[in-house]
Amino acid sequence: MTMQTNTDSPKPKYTGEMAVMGKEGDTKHMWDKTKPVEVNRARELFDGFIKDGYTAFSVAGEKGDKDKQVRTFDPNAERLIFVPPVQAG
Amino acid sequence: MPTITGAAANIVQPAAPVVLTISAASNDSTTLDTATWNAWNQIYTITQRYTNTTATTANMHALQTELNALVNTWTAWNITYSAATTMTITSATTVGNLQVWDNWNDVYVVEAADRENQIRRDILSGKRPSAEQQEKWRQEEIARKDAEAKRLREELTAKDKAIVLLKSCLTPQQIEEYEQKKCFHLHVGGKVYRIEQGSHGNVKLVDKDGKVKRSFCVQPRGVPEGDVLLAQKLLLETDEKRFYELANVTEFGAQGEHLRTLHAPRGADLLREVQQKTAG
Repeated sequence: MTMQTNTDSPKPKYTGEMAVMGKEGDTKHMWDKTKPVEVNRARELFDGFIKDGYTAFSVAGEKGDKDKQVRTFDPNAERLIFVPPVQAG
Repeated sequence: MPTITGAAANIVQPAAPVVLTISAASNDSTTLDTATWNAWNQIYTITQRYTNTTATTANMHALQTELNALVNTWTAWNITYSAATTMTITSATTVGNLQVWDNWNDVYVVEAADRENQIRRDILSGKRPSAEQQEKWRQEEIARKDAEAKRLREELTAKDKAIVLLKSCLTPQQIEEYEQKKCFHLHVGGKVYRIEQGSHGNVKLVDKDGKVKRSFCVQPRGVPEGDVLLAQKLLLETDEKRFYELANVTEFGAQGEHLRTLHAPRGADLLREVQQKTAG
């Protein structure tokens, strides 16, 4: 069985993106808010990272004035950045 | 005629004279360390002298005699220092040498010692390492170099990714500042913070002249530097109070002298003091 590619096919669409920091750099997870399966998967990931002690930031706006910490998943969010637990020293 | 090949070529050769100071439990041990290092250089030099030359029985015998004279030193080294030695390198120009020492420990002790012993046995028996053995050594060396190259590539990729993510969250002015000065400024709660390259104590509260009033030490662990800077920026911008609570905070006087260090979570006291003064 061969896999065929069609150059006319639309690119995968997504409306939201999570960037999760890690030792290899960040890992991206995308979702399309119009697709319940993708939203549910993104919500599971979000809850899992929060449970593991990550801090989630919703990032919007160039100056950082619209950035905020979030504790619950919003499918309408466009960009989230997850920071591993921080500590002094 | 036996020929020495393989292992000698695989031993990492110091590119320059190596200066090592090893702190050890006694003078005897220190002396032994020096002798060990000298022995390493001698062994290598001796082995090199016979590398890639068609050996005669006479010079093989000479080589073996020289090696035997040194082997006791190595045995003593391995027995004495396998777990007990602390090594410090004091020369200012020893970054490369440190790598040589790491290579020595990683490659020679673990792998090449076996090869060297095999060569010795081959010399004594008049046997040349088989083509298969030489090919095996060659493949092992290639695999080792590939693994090292892969590790370096991944490290570079992680650093690059972190810088890209950081810049995606900075203003054009901050990006320019970061590229030119390796730091950028933030305005939070009427105060100006400077986040510098680094990961410990690299966040500074500065006055209007850029003089450091406080430094903050707080970071996520195990992420590339660009991610550290971004995490500090996001936390500071979105929850300044929490940032103070999490950080170890050092205060500096007007002349830059150290005043005090408050360990987490006492840094939050400083923020309260400032806010009370402002309200008063």
